[in-house]
Amino acid sequence: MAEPILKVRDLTTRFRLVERTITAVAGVSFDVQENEILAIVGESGCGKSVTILSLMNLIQPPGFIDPASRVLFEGRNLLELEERELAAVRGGRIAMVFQEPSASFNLLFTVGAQIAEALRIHRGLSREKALEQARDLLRQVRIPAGERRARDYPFQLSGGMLQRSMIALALSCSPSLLLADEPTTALDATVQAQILALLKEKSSAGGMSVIFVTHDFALIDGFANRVIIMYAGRILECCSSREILEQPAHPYTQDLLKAIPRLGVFKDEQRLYSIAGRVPEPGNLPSGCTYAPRCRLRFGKCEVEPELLRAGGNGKKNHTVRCWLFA
Amino acid sequence: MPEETLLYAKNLVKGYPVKAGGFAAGGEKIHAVNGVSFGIPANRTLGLVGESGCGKTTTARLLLRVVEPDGGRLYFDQAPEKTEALERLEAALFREADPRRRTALEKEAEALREGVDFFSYRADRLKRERLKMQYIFQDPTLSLDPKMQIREIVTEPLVENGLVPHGERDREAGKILEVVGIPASGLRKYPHEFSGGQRQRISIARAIAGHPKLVICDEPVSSLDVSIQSQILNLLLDIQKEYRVSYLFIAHNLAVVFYISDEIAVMYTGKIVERAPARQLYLRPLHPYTQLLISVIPELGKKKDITRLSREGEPPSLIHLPPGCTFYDRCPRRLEICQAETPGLEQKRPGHLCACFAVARQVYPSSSS
Amino acid sequence: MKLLAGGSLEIPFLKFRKQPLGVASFIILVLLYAGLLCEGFIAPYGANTQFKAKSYHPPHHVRFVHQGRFVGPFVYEYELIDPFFKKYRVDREAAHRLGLFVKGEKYRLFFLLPCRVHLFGTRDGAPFFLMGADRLGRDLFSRIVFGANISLTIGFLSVFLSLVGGILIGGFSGYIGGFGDWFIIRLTEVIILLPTFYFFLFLRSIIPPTVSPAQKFFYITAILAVPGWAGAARGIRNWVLSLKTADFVTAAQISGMSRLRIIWKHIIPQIRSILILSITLSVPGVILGETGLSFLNLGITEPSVSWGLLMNAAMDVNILLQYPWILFPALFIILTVFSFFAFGYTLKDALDPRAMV
Repeated sequence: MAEPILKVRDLTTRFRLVERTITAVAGVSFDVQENEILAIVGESGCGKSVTILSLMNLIQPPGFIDPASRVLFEGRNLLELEERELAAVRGGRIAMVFQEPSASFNLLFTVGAQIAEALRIHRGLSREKALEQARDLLRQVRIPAGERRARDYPFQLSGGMLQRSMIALALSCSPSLLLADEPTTALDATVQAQILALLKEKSSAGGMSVIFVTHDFALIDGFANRVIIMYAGRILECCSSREILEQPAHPYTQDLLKAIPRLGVFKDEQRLYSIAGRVPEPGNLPSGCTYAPRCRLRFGKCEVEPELLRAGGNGKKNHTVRCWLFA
Repeated sequence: MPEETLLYAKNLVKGYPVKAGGFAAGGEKIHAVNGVSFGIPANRTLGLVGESGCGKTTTARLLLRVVEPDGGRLYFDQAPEKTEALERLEAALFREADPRRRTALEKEAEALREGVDFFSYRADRLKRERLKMQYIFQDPTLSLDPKMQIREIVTEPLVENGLVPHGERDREAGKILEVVGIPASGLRKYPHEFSGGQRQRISIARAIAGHPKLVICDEPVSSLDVSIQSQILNLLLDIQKEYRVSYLFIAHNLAVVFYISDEIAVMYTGKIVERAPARQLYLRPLHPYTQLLISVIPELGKKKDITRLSREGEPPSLIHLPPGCTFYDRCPRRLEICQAETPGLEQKRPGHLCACFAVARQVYPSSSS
Repeated sequence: MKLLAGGSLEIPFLKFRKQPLGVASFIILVLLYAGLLCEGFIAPYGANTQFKAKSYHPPHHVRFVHQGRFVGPFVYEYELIDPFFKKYRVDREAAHRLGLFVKGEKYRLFFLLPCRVHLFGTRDGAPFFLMGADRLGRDLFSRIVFGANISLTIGFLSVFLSLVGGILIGGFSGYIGGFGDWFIIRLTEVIILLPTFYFFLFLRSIIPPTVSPAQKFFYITAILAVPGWAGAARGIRNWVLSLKTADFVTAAQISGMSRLRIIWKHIIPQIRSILILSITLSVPGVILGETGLSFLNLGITEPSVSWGLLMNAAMDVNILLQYPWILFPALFIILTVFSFFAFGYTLKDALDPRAMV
């Protein structure tokens, strides 16, 4: 198998609060292959956003990344890079797209100018050339009349267009990895579909991998290649998107899939499954398996936190699950 | 209006002036709701879907007169004889030519309307009737007064209407909270001491405390964790069975709406473009916009080709609505007539309404509305 | 919008307790206001009790040793040696014992019960000037005590008026919006733009000269309330505006609550702590306002007594140089104002919303 472009090993991020220190992300390890779309799925507080920020060493105090963590990209550990080197990677080799596009754009400058600025910084283009490319990028992300939109200010664009502009900004320097943190959560269904289609297009066409963070399970199908399920700062399951839907291994994944209303299933056919209890707070995690208190299949061994295990044979080589049921 | 219809909204219209820095700029309006009519049967759930800006939230707020409508009327919990009498009277008024008779008829109609049209009710009648129609908000954090104990919050509608003497207050609160699964130990707690899911339950408790006939649910599960959503949806279904209440269920998550609704109405730029029973709408959507919507919603277990969508468009501006059908620009089935005239909401199949010239009627006009 | 969670005054209370300055100023304020209730008791004499031939009497030195022996607290009589320049000399022969709970002038304890017992004084009824006497031979300390009545009360009353006015008008304005709101806002802006003190003077000038002291008191109180009202109205309006669209307000509307009731039951409680803060920091301003007016003889006048009026006696530099104890009221003014500020700011820090909803 080809060498993954990103290798995350034992990523642990903690937050030092007044009363105590909480662990937001605990021992997360995964790979991202070339041209792959990896989805990180989880509910609020599971640590998915913190994971993404940690990849680019964007965690501010009181948060801090455990020194044993390693984020290997193009042969280098990003967590050990100097600020200057890291800045060259950010935007240039790895780009990020956030949930709120309006928060990423400076309201005082036009959209085109901001994209051009990125091009000048990372590619050293002249002002005219950069603007020209910026306009072209806006057209590529299929904003109607994209070239003219370059002269608009962020507040003149709708949510969908702004998000596309943000993607244009992210794509401007042809990164090999795109980190997207819930970029479509605030958008309408049709717009969301358009954005996903755009990302898929760019990914398969231009040799770019995507890590896509979301809480919406349904997005995986037809969009992501592989999926990671996170819960309470840990990876509970990791496999291809086909397998997660057809043969989910972890009880949490199974329960979640039974609890989500599915289009095409109506109330008189089936009652939604209710997962007992609630998502634990990062500072108040149960000992042992973090899902055990809510798990219908828990047994004695679950008092000890499980490791990431292989999810059975049958050629399921890349399906891992953190559950003693598979020991 | 059929027998068991609980609520009937007719031709709701609402526009907001466009404000540029505090003052309306030159009389331009955002046409949020443009002639919306629908009925909700008793003990049933009508789902309302549409994307942002389609007017569904505004419609919901109009029903309760949280905002006052620019036009339209609302029959809520009225005997059908009365509303039919009014309709007949107005039809007669329409035909009447003699000015003196007109004045008399107008007066009669006016008097009738005040008794029957929710939008005409005066303050005291409105206050009484409002208790029968309640609202659940999207954000459980902001829908509960952070400075009030929950026992006060859930009994507020009752106390305001003098339905519960002061001494009984705690007991009532305890009963209601039990229905939604909050233990009595929480009576004197404040909202911030509860989780998001629990707060939404408290919100639901407040809504059903007065035994309403209709509860408008405005995105009740959108702010909640996925694993909690099913709890709340199940609770709503259980309450419906027990209290025999109707729901107007608004959400942008189509999967949720299709699951919980009996019938669904689809809105686009302030109009209802289609309405049908949930299953029928899912299996056989007629309106091109509904078809688009369903085709893009990610469905578990169904592979959907979304690549073609990267070229899709957006709804037109609500300030300058184009003439004719507002979906014209994006419609794959558009005809010449669509640009000139606006299609009306007509019954194309039994029980299935659609506003589209390209959809043929397969139902013969009958006397049923 | 950051709203402080309900029922959580514990944390601010604990934080407040840790600040010595805040606690000290709180105690001082409590003492000052408690003293109001028993002013007759604390002051050895009435506010206008004159002692002939004791004009500009300096403060008595409290001594403990008489002719080499420790005898307990007492004072010597002071002889007037220069009637023109009002100079006194200590007469070590005539001594008067001091005591607690001595019998003195009649007054009404707590404004109700006739009483003759005072906190301290001379056992034999000879005049004792703790802080000296003014030109008419009136005990300055007693006058300060009675003056506190006006100065401290006016502070609160005025601010209270501002607040009520602010809530009613600001709340109303924010709720109705539209032209009414616009108009009220412009009005408050005009009031705020005007230089406060000159505004006071202007309002004062339109009070007819022939009003009773009681009426004058109310007029002054009302005048002092006006700028505060404008500020309070704007503040309250801002809060009403931001809370107007909050879902719980809409829910209350749907329950059938009237607008005013919503403002009272749902919006005001959110700003409870801010209101308290606002009051605490506004009172000293009003006290100083009254001081200024009375100092210029435009506020409280004889025969009433206020701290500002007492300061009026200190206007002449010559008087000040010869009889410096005239300045004692200033000490109290400074102490009060400072305590309010110290208390207020400590309260503000303690309430800082770290506990957010």
